[in-house]
Amino acid sequence: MSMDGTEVSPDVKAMYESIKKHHAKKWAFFEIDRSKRVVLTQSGEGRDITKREEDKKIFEGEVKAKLRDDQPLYILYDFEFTTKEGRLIEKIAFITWVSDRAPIRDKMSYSSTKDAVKKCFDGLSNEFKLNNIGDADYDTLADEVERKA
Amino acid sequence: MSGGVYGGDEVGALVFDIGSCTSRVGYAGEDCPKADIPTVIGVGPGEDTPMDTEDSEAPIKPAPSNKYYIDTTVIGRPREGVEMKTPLKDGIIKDWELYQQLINHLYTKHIKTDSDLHPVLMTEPTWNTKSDREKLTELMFETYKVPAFFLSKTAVLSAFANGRSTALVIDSGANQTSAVPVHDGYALSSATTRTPLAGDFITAQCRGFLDEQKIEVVPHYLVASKEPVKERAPANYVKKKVPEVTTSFHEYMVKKVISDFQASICQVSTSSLRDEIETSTSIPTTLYEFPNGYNINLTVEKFKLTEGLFDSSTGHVKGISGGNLLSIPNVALHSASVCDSEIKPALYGSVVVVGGNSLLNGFTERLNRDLTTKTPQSVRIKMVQNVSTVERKFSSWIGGSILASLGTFQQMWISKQEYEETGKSVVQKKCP
Repeated sequence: MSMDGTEVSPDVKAMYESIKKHHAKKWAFFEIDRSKRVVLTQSGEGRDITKREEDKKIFEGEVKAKLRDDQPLYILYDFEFTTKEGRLIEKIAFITWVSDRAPIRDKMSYSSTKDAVKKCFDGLSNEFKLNNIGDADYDTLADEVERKA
Repeated sequence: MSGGVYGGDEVGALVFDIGSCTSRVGYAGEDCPKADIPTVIGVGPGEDTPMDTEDSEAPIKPAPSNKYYIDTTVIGRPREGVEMKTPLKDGIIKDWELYQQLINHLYTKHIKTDSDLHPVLMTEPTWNTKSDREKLTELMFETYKVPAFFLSKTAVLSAFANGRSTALVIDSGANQTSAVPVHDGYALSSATTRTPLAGDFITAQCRGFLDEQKIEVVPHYLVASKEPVKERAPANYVKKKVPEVTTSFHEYMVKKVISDFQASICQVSTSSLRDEIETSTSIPTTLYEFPNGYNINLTVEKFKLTEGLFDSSTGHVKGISGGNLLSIPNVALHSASVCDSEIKPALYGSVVVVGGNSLLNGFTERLNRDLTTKTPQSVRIKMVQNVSTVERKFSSWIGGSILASLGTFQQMWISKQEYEETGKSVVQKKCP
C-alpha cells in the first residue's frame, strides 16, 4: 500500500484534467481494482457536440447501456449541449453508480471511497449518485447541470 | 510517512458493535460476526474470598467480588440472587465495570487471542458524549493495549452498507428510534432526532395488552412439561422447581417471551388505523402459544399494538410517560427539516431503514406512506433497505467490517504512537 494514504491512481486526476482542459475524452469509467486502488478502466473519445439530442444519444448508448447491477462505477461525463436560450453548456459531472442490487461489500467500498475520488477533481460542480437504472435519466441530469451552470 | 498509517492489511482488525440488546464481535473483512451475544449480564455474589482475620489494620471488609454471568446459554439459567444488568443506557456506556466484563468475555471466549495484536474498530451512536469517547479510547489503549483504534458512527456505517454516502438513516432498535442525516460520510449530529417509540415500547404495549386480557406470562424456566389445551382454555402444565430468583431475572425472562410474542404476532397496518374500520373481518387470525401451552387467536390486536409507533396522538400510546412523543415519521421529518435545503432532496431520496424493530412486518411500507403524505408533492421519497435480514440485523457490524478492511481506510486508524503523543483527545480529531 502507498504510504501517503492515497489509494486513488494518478490516472484519475490526469483524466479529469484532460477532459476539463481539452475535452479529450467524452466520458471515463473508474473502478476499484483487486488491490483496492481506484483505476481508470474505460473511456470514450471526445467529440464536437453542441446539440442536446446528440449528447443524450451518447449518454444513453455509451454510458447508461453499460451500467450493470454487479459492477459499481465512478463516472466522469462531459455534458455538452445548447440550451433553449442558445447558451452553450460544457460541464463535467462526477457520477457514482452503485446499484441497490450490488453486493454489500461493493456498496460499502464504493460509497466510502467516493470522497477520496472526488478530492481529485478540482472545481467540480456537478455530482450525481445513481442507485438504480431509473435514476440514470439523461434529461433529469442535464436539467440539473443547466440549472447550476 | 505519516504516523497515522497502520498496516492493517497484514493483521486482521476486530470490529465490536455493542448494541443495547445484543453485542457483536468479529474480524474485519468477514461477512458476519463471530459472536452475537446478549448485552444483558447476570451479576451475582461471588464466592467469599478467604480473608486474613488477624489483620487488624484492615477492619473494613472489602466488598465481596461479584460473579458475572455472560452469554446466551449462561444467563438463561435460574440462579439465586443473580440480578440482570446492562452496561448501556440509550446506547451510551453507563456502567464501565460491566462494559469491561463484556469486552473481556468477547476477547477470551469468542476471539480467543491477545488484544494487543489486533486493531479495533468500535461503533458508537451519534449522540455519544465527548468524555465517553475519550474514556473509551483510553480504555482500549491502556487496558487492552490495542495497536490501533477507531470509533465509527453506526448511522454512517449503515448508510455506507446501503451504498449511500448521503442518506437519512432511520434506526429503530430496542431502546429507541433515531433519525440521523448523513452527508458525504459525516453524521450531522445536531439534526439527530430520537424517540423512545421502538422495540421496548412495543414490548410494553404487548405486556399491557396481556395484562388486560388477564393472561399470565409464564417464562420457559418455570415450565417442566405441558399438555396441549384448546384456545383460551386454562393452561395445563407442570411447574419446574427452581431456586429463588431475583425480580430482575424473572422480568428478563418474561420479556424474552413477550419479545417472541411480538416478533411472531405484531404487524404494522399499511394505513392509519383511524381510517380503517376497526372491526374489519378480513384480517386473518394468527395463533400464538405461550411456553406453558396457553394459546390465543389474534386479529386486529396485531395492528393496534404497533400503531403507537406511527401515531402517538391517539390512545395507542399507553404506559409511557410524557405526552409529547414524536412518532417515527415525525422523527424523520423533523431531522430532515433542520438540515440545509440543498441536501434535503438527497436525504428524502435515500431513507435508509435499519435496526431490529424495523423488521416488523409492514414497517417500511407504512413509513414510506406516512412520509409521502406528510411532505409536499414535489418531494420524492425513496426507502432503501437491504433485502437480506442478516444484512439488516447486522448492518452496522457489517459496515464496520468492510470499512476496516478497505484500502482507503488504513490511514484513518488512531495508531498507538498518535495516542501516546496526543493523548486521549486524539479521538475527537481522528474520528469525527
